[in-house]
Amino acid sequence: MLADLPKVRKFVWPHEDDPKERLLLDPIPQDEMNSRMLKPMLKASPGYWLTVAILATIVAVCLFGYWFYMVRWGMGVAGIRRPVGWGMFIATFVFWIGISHSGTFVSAILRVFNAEYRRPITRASELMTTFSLACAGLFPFIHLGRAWTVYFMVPMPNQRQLWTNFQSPLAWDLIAITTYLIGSTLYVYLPMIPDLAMTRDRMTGWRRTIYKYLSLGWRGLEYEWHYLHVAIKIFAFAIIPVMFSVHTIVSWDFAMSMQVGWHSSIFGPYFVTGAIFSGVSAVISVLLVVRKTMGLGYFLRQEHFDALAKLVLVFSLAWTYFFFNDYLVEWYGGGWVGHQLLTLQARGPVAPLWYAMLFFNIAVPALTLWNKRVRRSPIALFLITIGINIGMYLERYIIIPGFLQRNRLPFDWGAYNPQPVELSIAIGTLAFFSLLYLLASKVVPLIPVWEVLEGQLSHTRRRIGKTVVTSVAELE
Amino acid sequence: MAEQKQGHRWTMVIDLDKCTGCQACVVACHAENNVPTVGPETVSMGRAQHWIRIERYWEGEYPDVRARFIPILCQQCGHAPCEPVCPVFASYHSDAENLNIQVYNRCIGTRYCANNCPYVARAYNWFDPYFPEPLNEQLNPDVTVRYRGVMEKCTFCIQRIKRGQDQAAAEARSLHDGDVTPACAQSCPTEAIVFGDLNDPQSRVAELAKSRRGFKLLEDLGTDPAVIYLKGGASHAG
Amino acid sequence: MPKKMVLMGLFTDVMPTAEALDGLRLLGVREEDMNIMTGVPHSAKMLGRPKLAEFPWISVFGALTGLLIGLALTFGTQWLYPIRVGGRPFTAIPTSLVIIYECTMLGLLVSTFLSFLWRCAFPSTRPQYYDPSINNGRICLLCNFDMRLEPQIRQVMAQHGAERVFEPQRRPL
Repeated sequence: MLADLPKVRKFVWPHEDDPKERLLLDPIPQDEMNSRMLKPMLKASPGYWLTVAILATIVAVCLFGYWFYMVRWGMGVAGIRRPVGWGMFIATFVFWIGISHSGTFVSAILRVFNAEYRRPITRASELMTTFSLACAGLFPFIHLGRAWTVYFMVPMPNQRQLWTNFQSPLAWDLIAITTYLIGSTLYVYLPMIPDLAMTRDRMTGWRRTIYKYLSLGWRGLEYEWHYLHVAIKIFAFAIIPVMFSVHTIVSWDFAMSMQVGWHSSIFGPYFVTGAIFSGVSAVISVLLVVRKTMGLGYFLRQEHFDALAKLVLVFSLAWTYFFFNDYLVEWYGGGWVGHQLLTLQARGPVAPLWYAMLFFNIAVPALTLWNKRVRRSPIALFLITIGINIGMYLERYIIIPGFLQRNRLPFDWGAYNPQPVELSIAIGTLAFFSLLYLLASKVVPLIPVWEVLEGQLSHTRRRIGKTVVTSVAELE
Repeated sequence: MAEQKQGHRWTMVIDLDKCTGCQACVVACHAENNVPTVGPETVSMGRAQHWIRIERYWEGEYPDVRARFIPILCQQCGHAPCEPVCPVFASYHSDAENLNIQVYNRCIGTRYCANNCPYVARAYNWFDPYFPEPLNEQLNPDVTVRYRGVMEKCTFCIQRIKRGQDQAAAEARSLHDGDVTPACAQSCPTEAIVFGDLNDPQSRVAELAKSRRGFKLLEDLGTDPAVIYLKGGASHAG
Repeated sequence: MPKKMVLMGLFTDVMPTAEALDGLRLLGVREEDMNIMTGVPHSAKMLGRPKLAEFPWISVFGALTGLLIGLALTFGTQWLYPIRVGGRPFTAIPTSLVIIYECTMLGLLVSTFLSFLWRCAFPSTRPQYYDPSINNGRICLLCNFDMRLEPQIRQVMAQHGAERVFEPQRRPL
């Protein structure tokens, strides 16, 4: 009779991942690891040089060429007009500041939370921060009507006894972005010193001289490691509030104004969340390319992209939360001008962009990134993360020139039509970022080998009951 | 030279019941302040370069269509939103004259002030100004010609205010009402625009400011504008 | 003054190194005369060395300097050369806090970096005692001692499994 009972389907636990799949459980001799990192740095294929040449040409023509053309003839060659005083330039500026949150999130926040999967990706993403800040830093020059007088903004004693207006959000931008640029450059440099010393030891000739100076005379003494750890720890904790404050301050360029749709108290957290969302997505995009082209498959494994993709899903949900907050509040209690803006987004000329933004930022991540197979597929991840960055660029485009098209005096409403200059300069900065990254990848070891080794030292496998689990030691 | 006990509060009263929308004020402002004419293509792009503009709204259905006009210029706000956002102090407040000052050679051209003005009162020099012959011989020597990349706006003809003050000082007297007339007020055929010092109890603006027809544009924003509009009865010109 | 000499021992693992250090201590070598160089950070506890722990005073002073600079920029410049904007007071605490905060953080970060450089005496281009095999898993024990102890020191190092024990030369890095 027991045999007549319906058979219960046996539930099978998902099989445990092969420990050898995990970087920190797959140690190789240190010498071998160093070679794997240095090999792609020492050889440069013709494809590499061709890419560098193309990017350099794009930078020269699209970025600097068009920029000087605009400086010579005036801002009128761009599409900005009354009442849309800020257009694609500022949207691209905010986009690059957003990407800059990539590195700090991975190398600071994940470090503070002891997320071990951050070990091989910290430097590659922190370099993204530095270079995207360099690109963002160009735009305060580019969008000025009189770019040659940009030094008026710098607080320094002068003959006219004129200082900066520190009540202006643009002055806050200057100080905040400078702080973040200096901070993140130092923060990418500090953990790089032991790896630069390792590189120095394996180079000869003029290369060795460069690394000798860059590594400052590092020998790996105990006190050197100790002071390095202390400095990195302080930096990691300190740069997180700086990162939050920088994008908050950039969002305050809009929130502090009286423009309808901009004057919102949610812009601070909204923009910071959007920045981390777009930054972590950009990290995935760039690292997938780096892994393929530099053969760093030993260091950058499925587990890393899987973990980052989960983060992207979380931030997509967080971004959706803030977006809906902003939208619903305006929809419900906003004035008639606010409603004009909502109509503009849903049915006006920017509607296709708005729907595309919702598709890339909300629909795609929610529908795909929960699935493990998608998260472990490089092609899928690459397309999804590029889509997310397109969506985030569209978000800035809609908020900045989009909202400026409507105000309280209907006689003064106007449409914004971007011109070739603006598109060209935006593409030029993308090429500039890529060029800087390509050049850096040959000079700087992209993987912090000592941090990977430290991680491998702390990871062991141990038996609990009938199973074997991974155990992580606290080394400090 | 007699110093006034308190500074001036330059105020403009515009009577919308008298305004015919003739645009004489617009043209006079161009002539007085060296404002370039930018051409029809530029204007259709949304880059009209007027310091004062007549905004016209159509109301109603045929045959009861009415046009309503309102001349809008820089309101010289007491709490000007354009001032705190300028990073280089190119737009600041003069406490003595209660005017919003624009300093052309300090402006670096960020255009934040224009974005923040709820009256869209500011005009930007998108290109270098071009004065076709013989307009280049008609430039006012009291006013700078602005270069490309610089923001400009109505100044309440501050050069005329200064000349009036210099004249009064030379004659060792204080300013009287009517000593200072901006170009727009001077050229208005219906005398719809009246200008003067609100702190002078004998001035025409002080009298008109008490009118029950008075209102200020977008007053609820708290910008404290120095321009008072008068609107009461209906008229063909709205 | 007894003549001093330097010996370098290369070990392959942490525990033998720590035990060698114990042995050297028994021979009377002082802590500051022994140095460990590694390619992977090992903490003082792992090596059985006294812990280096000090409060980062320089970072705090750097942050304070930044704070003062922030105060000078926001309150100082408007106090000295006041310009009225927006019908507001010349100095406002909410807006000034933004600049003060950023300047404080910049001071903290830059001073932390400079204190790291100062404590490690970087940058240094003088010839130093060093062996590049620490990049290949070796742990280097550098010992400075009285010449007369040389045979005992060599014996302690060999006893604890040193791969190589030799007298190093200062070499440019």
